[in-house]
Amino acid sequence: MKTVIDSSNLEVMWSRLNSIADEAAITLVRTSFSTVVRESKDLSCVLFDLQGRSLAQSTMSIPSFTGTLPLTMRHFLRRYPAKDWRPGDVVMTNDPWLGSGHLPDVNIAVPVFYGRKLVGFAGLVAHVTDIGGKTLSATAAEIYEEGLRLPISRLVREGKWSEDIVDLIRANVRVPEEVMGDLNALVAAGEIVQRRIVEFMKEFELKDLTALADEIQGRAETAMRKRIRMLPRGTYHHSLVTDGFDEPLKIQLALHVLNDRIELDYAGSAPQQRSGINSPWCYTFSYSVFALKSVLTPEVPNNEGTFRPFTVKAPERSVLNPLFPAATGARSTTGHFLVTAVYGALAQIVPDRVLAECGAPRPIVVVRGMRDDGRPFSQTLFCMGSMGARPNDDGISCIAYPTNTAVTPVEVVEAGVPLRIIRKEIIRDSGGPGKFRGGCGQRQEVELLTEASAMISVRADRTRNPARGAAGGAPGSCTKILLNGKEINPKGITVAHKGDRLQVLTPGSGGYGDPLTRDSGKIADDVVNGLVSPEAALRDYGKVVDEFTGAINAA
Amino acid sequence: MSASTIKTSVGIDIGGTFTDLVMVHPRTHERIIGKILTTPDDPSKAVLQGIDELLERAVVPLGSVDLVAHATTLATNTIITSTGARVGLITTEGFRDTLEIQTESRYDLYDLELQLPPPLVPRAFRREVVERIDHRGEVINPLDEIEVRRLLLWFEEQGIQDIAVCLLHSYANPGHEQLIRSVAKKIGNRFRLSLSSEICPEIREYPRVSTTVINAYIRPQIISYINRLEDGLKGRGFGGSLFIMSSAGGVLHPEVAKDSPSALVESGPAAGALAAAYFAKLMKRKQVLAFDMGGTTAKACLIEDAQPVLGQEFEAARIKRFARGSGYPIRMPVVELIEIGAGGGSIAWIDTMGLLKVGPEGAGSSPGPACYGLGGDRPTVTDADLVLGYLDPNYFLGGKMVLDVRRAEAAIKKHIAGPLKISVIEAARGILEVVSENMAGAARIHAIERGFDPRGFSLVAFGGAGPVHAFWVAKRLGIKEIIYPVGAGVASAAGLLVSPAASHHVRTFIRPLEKIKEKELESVFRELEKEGRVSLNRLKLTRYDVEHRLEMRYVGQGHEVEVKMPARGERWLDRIRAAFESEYTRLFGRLPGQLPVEIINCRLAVSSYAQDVKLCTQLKRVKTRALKGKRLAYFSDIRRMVSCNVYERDCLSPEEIIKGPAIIEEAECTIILPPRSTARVDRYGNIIMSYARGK
Repeated sequence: MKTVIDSSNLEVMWSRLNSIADEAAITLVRTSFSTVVRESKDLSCVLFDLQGRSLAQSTMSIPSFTGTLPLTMRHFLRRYPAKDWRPGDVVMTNDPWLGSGHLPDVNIAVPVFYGRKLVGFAGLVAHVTDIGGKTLSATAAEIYEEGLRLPISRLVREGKWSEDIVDLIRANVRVPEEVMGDLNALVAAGEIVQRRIVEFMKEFELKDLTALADEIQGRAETAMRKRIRMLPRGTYHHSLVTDGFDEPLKIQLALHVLNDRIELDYAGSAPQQRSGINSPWCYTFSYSVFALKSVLTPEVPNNEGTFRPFTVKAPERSVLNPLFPAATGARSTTGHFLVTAVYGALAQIVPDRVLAECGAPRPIVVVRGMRDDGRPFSQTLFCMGSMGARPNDDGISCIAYPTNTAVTPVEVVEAGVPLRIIRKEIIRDSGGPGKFRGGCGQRQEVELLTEASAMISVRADRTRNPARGAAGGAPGSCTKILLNGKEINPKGITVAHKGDRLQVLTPGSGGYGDPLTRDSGKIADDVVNGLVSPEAALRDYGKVVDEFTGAINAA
Repeated sequence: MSASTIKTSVGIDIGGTFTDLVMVHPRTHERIIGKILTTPDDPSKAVLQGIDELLERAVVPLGSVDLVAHATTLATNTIITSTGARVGLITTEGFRDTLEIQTESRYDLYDLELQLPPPLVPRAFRREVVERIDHRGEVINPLDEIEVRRLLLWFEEQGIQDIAVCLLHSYANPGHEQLIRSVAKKIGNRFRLSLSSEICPEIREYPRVSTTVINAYIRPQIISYINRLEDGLKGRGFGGSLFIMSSAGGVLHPEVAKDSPSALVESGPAAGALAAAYFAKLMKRKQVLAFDMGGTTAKACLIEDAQPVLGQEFEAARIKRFARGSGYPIRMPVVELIEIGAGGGSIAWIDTMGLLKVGPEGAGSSPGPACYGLGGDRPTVTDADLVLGYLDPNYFLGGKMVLDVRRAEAAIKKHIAGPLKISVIEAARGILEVVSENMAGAARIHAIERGFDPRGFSLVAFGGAGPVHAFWVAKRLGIKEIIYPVGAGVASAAGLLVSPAASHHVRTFIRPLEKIKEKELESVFRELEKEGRVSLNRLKLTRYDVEHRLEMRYVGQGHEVEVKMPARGERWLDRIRAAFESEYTRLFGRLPGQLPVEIINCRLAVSSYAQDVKLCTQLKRVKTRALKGKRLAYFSDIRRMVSCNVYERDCLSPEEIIKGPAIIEEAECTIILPPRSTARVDRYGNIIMSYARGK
């Protein structure tokens, strides 16, 4: 190991580590069976040093996983200390408290040996095709109903798969072949990291990763602390209300800026719920720190050092730190709001660097049924909401935020399962008015084609609480979940029959700044393009706009 | 053979700065090169003038030229500069927003100022028709001609003639899209229609609509350009054929290019890749990495068995420079290349964490690197090269420009060495290391994603800055041999002379392997071959090679693996499965178990070598001594300046051997031979360098 790591060497090595993580993530996407992974990219890959501290992560990553995977790695090491690992081992868990908050996410780690010496680990997480239990919704009262829970265990020992664990999994999931395919994909991606790290160490003549890790993490940490010091010290409160399961749910945040660190305290938030909307602490932590990083050091590659200046507290037995055996299947309907809470608090000190509230969480629909030939099917539909208006720009319509799943193409859905997607379009007047308009939501309509009835489970929020505007901007539109035109439980399971049509209207985002100060050219464009109706242009922006020509007349 | 029957071809490549021309003289077999400033307003001007000058110099009449092969950047420039047509888009009811909402994900997780590429058709001009076809091609809801007619007339009222049509599942049944065309014809031939079922007949609606819209968007520009070129050539008495290079590295008939200009977006880089493929063949190298580095970017592409490796999708006009996911997807066969913001003009800077970064921002040609003395004060890669002794300040571009070493040092000191508290030489070395890793890192990922190990490759270095940096890139990739071909400066134009005529055809055909009837599969390919034959017949070619490929995956996966289809015979389907499994293992290291396999797409390529041109001729012995002096250059392995012999490339003789450290110069570029390397000149004048690794 060169004793001094200079700026150019460090840059070279650091970018190599990031690209190793990227390669593993791409392999995972290309070999996975779960549409949630292969089309929607619900995954992450993180590289760790010997102590389980994160070094680099894949560009293709979901924010929640980038925060939870490092915590999972610590749990793995607590269960199996470094000295117990052998080449060819694979350790895994899907426990919501040790993993990433709900059961379908399988987390694995593989050790990286350089010669006979353990030098680090690769951690991977992906949402597998099925995990048994109730289809994901918020209706479970306890975790037992939500599927198979795998404690931290050795799936593979020195290259040999544990037949007992494999049998156990196969016996508990609906599509065992595909789930095993997903596990194979995870392991294959992990093996790629092992090979590449060894090549990397040889090339740079490193004997271990410790000094490099210290340097990388130290620099990220320093950058973060420097940015924190530029914030005015003090405590900033923000609260918001979500739909909850059967009653509104309060999220209360106190954000303390303390010299060079930030403490988030969610005391005062709603208690643990007897439904699946609980967000385990790891998930709460993850979205909280994601929000801070996106505002403070968006340009710095993520690693352990980024998180060190942050403390996240949530009272035990609250909805943001539920205890076993709480149900957590719909954790995203609560957890995604934490980004909003953090931005809300930061808006009081850096209003020019945060978004208006986003049309988030985005509704997730799972349809499970039987084809006419008797084979079962299951399809997850992510229905993206929108991104809030920015201090200098409109929000983005129909996009995942704060999570980062991609859409499954309509043609791929229809070719795979007996559903017809009737429409998928931007909703007019859904983006909150403002000097900069909030992103618009979308309307998605799906028809069931099978003779047999199907179960539609939904995880959605913001049906009663729209995304609010910032700095004088107005709120976006609410979520609506309709079956044949009638509202259904946005966090429940509903039976659908042949020809039934499900409509999902995803939430629009809040606007930024006073709508009356919006550039009139932009108002005209929005009207001509059908994003804003002439009526709304008059009501919200005070302009009479011709729908066809965009000509503006005085009101 | 009488003199009049001896025919020749001209290759023409339009670049950002220069239009390059190459021909092999019909009698002397010498390679004749022309370079003329590109005329951006009307690129055909420079092309025609260049041909006039080239032929005049060669004393060859245009009547003796039977083929002009041409690569153009017009398609990609039209997209980048947003100067395409006003396009109308027709979609299935409920789906006009597919073009705008894209993949619904963010290419940068943390960027709150994220921008997506704006849709090339504004929402007001994206119109819907009531119709529905399902994924098996069955009509669920018929299309009403009257509605189509009304819509087309509306577009006409809006002054829109260029129309893209992308209906759901049109890859499975193009009937409704074709109906729209026939209605347009009935109205009168005033529209230029681009149908997704012809441009990109593949499943996945967003890439398909994006490709179709790009096609419509650039079409009028391309049509008028090719027309001007054809008229100009005809007016000069040209009676041969004009061929246009496609992104996939095969030339197209001009009429095909006018109908599907989206196939031309990577025309220029494809020509470069073909040149690399030519050298791979000439020197009998199985696997080659072509590395082309210019002033603003570096490109790399893989050549296997003397053919550029093809991909099926790429992105144009990335809005965040070089960020994957920030451009317009184009789903068409393409010579797979990576391009990153790493060129001679790339600027070095220090980021938030005190790390040394290079690019992607560049200094361009004005003000350019600090050493140009044109007012640039930020340090670039060229400045570092100069400080390290790799470039001769008095022999840049063959001496046309004098470089200022002191300005280069001052810029590096001010922006890099000072803040990092290191010496100027150390900082320059750092810039070189970082830019090399940027290129090597991108090339490594590119190779690995396609299941190749770059260590077994030879690197072929092109471009003004390619030969200077080739060694450091090769070293980082573990590549042990570098080839510096002759005429590297006009490689793309030369590539045109050796390009095949080719056309690529695809059909989405989703079937589990176990349920396929051999006859059915065969008939899909027969249909595709018929299409291919038609397109080659237009080029008056009747003999051709055919390549059959299948895109396959395990049932339940979402991404395909491309497999060369074994020829039909005993246990055909079993052999297809075996070919898939072997490719899958090569790419991903392990099979997921005994799961069912399915076919998604059938691909067929027909190609025909219209010309057999010898680009390289025997190098003659020269009397002049090649060794022209000595200068100091810095090498990081030994961490000091050492004295290097400097050679003039044009004076090297066949089989000459040069040991590093040494420098070989020619007008367009400089080759650096580090200590422990050996270079050999082959009988054509190509230089082959190898080096010993280790301490």
